[in-house]
Amino acid sequence: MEITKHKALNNAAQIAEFLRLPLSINLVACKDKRYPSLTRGLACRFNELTLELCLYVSEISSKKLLDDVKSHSQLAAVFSLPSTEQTIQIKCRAQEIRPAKPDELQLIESARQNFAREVADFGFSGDFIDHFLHAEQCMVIVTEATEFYDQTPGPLAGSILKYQP
Amino acid sequence: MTSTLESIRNCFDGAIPSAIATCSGDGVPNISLLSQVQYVDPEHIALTYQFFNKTRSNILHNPYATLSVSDPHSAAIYRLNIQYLRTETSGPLFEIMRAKLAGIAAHTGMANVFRLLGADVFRVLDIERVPGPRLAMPDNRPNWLPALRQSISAIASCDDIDGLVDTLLKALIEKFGIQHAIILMLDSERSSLFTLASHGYENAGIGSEIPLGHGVIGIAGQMQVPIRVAHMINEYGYGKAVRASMQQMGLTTLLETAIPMPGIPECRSQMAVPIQTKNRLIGVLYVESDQDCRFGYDDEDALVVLTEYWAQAISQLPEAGDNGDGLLNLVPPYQHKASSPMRVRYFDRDHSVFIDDAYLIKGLAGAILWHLLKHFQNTGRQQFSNRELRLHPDLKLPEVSDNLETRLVLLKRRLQERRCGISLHKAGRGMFNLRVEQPLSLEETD
Repeated sequence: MEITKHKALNNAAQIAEFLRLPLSINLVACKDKRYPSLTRGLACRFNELTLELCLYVSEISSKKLLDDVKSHSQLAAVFSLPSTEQTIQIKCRAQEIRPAKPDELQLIESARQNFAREVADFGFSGDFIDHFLHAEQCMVIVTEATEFYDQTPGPLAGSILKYQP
Repeated sequence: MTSTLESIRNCFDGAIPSAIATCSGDGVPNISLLSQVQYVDPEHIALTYQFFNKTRSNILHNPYATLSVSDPHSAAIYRLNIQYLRTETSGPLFEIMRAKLAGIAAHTGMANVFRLLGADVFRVLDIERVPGPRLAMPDNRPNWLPALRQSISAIASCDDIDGLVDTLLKALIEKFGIQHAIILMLDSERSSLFTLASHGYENAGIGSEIPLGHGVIGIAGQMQVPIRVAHMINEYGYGKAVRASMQQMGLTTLLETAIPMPGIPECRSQMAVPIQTKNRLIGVLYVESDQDCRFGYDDEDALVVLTEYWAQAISQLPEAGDNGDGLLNLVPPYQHKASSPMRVRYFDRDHSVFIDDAYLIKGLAGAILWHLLKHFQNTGRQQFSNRELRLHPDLKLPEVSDNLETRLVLLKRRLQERRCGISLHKAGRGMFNLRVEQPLSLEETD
């Protein structure tokens, strides 16, 4: 059986490298503890020196999450590489919510194209991904990463990564 | 609710991983990806509990969670507000999810990593379709209602088990486009299922057995629930494992009395549907394919309806043979084609029959054949009635009325498959002819 090789994630630079891959992204926030708000991320950008993590979402499909983040800054994001299923979760604290800038819109478009290539082997067409990651009124949640967890399927899922800020 | 759980079931098979969001007691959000969401009923779903992780810790403190699922055809995304109710660690739901998890684990090369500890049952409180465009659903999604109607109509016109078996297989092939199917019937005395008929295999495997509780087929029979696995699996493969488990359970005393189960070389999708009427199991229908995700929830629903109707049709067949005695001995004596004797050995301990050292059949079907051959040898008689077999004290037939007819069909088909020079032929209602093409040498052993 072919052994899947996962990226080493022992420092901020390696995590930054992983976060540049074509990842599936999901975000969660929680204001009132009853129902966490959940949305799909369109792209991300991580600064390994400042630990600033920018998370891009479509405003139209993320209203509750954006509201929750405005009143309760804690959120979590999970990043998974479909071809290897390597997955990490990052806990972070929101600092700012604003509309995406033109260069960030380009980043989102580039992320979508890369993701479409990543999942083409799974039978998903470019048209499907265009609909699935529909970007409308793109917003960026600027956060500071605070904790990193391994969430690759298996018994170690949920364990804290060696590297922590 | 803006959508119903039924209408979004095709989001649950893992083509796009789902995500569950939870919140700890002190307000820290957490998110996990899921390989499987199980539809339970119109108000409930179940999720796998494999490891004690943050998600599990959170739902034990705060039962409310949000689930995101995606439609692999339309790209629509749905958010479900759910409430944790309980964890099931045994029973039908647990077994369904364990079988599916084994499939997913094998598919992702993690067969030794994934182990189901429980099925976490959630109530679905609300379903929201996430705003955004979606693709038009493909037109090629099958509508099984016409296929069901035509199949049921064909089944309704059958008046014996042989016809019902052929009609079910034909319906699966022609109406449902299924290329590989096995009909297994329950042997309640041996707690096993035996292959009565199959389609799409090099080796038909008539008479092959699988114990209840083993493999996808045996578990579907034991739990009386349909089990559908979208990906290739090893743990639930029935090939090699069956022989070992049957020996372990003392169901076979001689290894050579195991007929290999039919199977395709690379099974990537499979579904086992219990055949039952009024909650009484009478068999299992098994279908498989070399394509991933070949069978969905709609296929499962259709085959459950079809097999229930088929089971009802079997249970409503009139007992045959009450008017048969007058036809006895009207068949002209058969002229043997060959003169060298055929050696037939019978082992009383398991009713197994060997022809020229090759295993043929055992159990009730073996006992029936031996009874017929002894009569033929002693009296030259070739025509028999179902009724006389049913009443014969030596055969000790179980009380369930369809056992005799089912075993006769099994025997007839097994003899046909083996082409050993012995065959059974229908001879009117409740009657059949035995045809033997060589002189016989019969040996009986304890």
